[in-house]
Amino acid sequence: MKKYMRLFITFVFTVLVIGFLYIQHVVANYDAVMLKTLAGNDVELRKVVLDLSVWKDDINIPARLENGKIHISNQYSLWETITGAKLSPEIKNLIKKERNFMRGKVGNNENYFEDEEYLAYVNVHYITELRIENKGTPEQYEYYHHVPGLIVDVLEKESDKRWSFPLELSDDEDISFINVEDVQLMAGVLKVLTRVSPYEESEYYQFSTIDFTTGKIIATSKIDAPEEAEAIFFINNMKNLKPEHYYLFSIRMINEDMASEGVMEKYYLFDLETEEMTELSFDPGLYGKVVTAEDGEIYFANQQNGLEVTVYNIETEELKTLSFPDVKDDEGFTYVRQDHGNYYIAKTNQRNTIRLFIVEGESGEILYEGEISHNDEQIEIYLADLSVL
Amino acid sequence: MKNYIKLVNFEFNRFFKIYLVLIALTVVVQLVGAIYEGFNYVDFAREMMQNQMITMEDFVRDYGPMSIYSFIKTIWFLGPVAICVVTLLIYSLFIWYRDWYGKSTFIYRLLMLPVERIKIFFAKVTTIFLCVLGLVSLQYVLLFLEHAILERIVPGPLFVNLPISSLLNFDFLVILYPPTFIEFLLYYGTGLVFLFVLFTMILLERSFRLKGIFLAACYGAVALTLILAPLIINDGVGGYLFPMELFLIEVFLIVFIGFVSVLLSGYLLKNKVWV
Repeated sequence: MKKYMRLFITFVFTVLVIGFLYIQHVVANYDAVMLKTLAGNDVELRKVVLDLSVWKDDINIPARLENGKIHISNQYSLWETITGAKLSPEIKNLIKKERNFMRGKVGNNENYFEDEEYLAYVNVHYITELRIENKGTPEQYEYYHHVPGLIVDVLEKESDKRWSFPLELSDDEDISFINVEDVQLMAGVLKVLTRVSPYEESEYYQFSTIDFTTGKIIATSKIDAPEEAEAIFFINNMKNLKPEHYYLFSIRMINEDMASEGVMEKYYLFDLETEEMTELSFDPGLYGKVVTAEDGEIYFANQQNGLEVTVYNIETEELKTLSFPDVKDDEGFTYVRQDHGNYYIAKTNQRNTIRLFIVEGESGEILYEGEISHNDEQIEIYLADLSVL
Repeated sequence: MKNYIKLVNFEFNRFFKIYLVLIALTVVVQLVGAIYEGFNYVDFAREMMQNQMITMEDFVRDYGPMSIYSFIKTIWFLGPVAICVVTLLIYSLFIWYRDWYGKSTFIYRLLMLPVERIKIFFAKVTTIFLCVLGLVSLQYVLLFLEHAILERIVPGPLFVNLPISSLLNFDFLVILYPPTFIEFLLYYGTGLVFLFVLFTMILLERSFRLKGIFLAACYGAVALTLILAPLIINDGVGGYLFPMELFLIEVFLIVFIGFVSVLLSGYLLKNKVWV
């Protein structure tokens, strides 16, 4: 035995240290972030995916609530990239359902549209060209120019018929980049909202109608902020793949009558069918901050005395209020989602806890109420996203 | 099994002196480096605070705090790591050639041993692999010691108490200490197959000498092409395969290359290698 001592010590030392390293990983993550059910049934959670951002010693550790369980992930993990753990739940779902269609696709939720009949994908791609200026002169120089285009792919689910084609976009050298913000398929045509960022002017949105059966852009219109406005923002839930009839934009106006802080926000509704933009007919400030817009509804959150979520139906102009007086925090972002008449609301609460509510839309009955917290109170937890599958 | 352990022990003891030098060098240089860097930072901070009449908070804001992360980017830390990597790479070749070119052509005795010759191959692979893992483990322990040294030398407001578990996500440490055990098996498994291929190439050269150099180069090129081909092809077809599909193909290919390397090495050791 003595003559094997060196080998034995090296082997045992290695096994102990590497074993400690990985056991420590498991122990550190085990039940670190906990979900406590305060009311209702856990079954309601099966459709909820909540992305969290856990801050420990100035380091961000992503975590996800999925199928009622919290999983701590590692943004540097290759294995999580391979297994697709880092993908959004909606894209993971699409890969499961339409594996063939999803092959070779990059991009995020905003590049996809899905309803019962169709699945559509639109993304911007760039073709790099080498350009020569002042050719043949002493001032000749070369540079790479990226010509933008669109990649369009539409699947008719029942027949499995696909329309897949590239589309050329106007090559404007003043444009820095173009981003797809939303894709819709309405009355047999694709409607694509893109955010255009010029090098020198402020950003604007472009709304294009594409006939995917002929592979042609039928019309393009610019959605721009008025001259006196500072910028224009798209408020809808960009992660939503489902059909939308309205877009909500906010436009920041600099009010010259007011002091230096005189920035006011105006909200505009864009009807995707008529392509008309109308100013919101009431002051959204009455109901708190605008959270998002989705499925023909606008959500507001008032966090002055507990949390009050107001749901405004664009078509019927009806208002509905959901109250959560127990929520103490008056700052932070509120996430509101709607699915099959139920509202899913997530909000950072005091002591860095997250409160999650599932409310039956008609009756206002709370179907589920839960709290996410960490066993170390020094650790901060923030909401990163909320999805309902 | 007993013969295999005997052979591993024999190979390990042959390398042990060099291994001890590597361990001593790493421990001494890194610990001295941590002490030096700690005091150096404190001296610099004191000088700047006196000269510029600034507070500790202002100094931290302007020049950044000290942490173990700052230390791992210094030559004190990276130097010994680089020396260990290079030494082990060189020894991966030397472990075979010393048997031929060392005193009294030791390969005669090795090949005459009443054991299956493939066990010689596995014993050498195990020795290198164990030495790699041993140094990786030692480095992990040293990180704690270096962190403790810096924490003691540098005053609280100037020091960021970065946990070692978080530190392992940065730079090359994420390769040395993969975030999950599965990745540990993946990374080090790939390293093991690299050793299999390298040893097969050495045995090809030892079996066919001049012609063997050409054969070894071809073997290495084929192995590399096989591993890279799916990645390049998938990139060429616009990422047709999902990451998991690509991963499974790669795992299959790496295991296949490892298996072929072992078979070929066994054949060469048994029938072709000459002294």
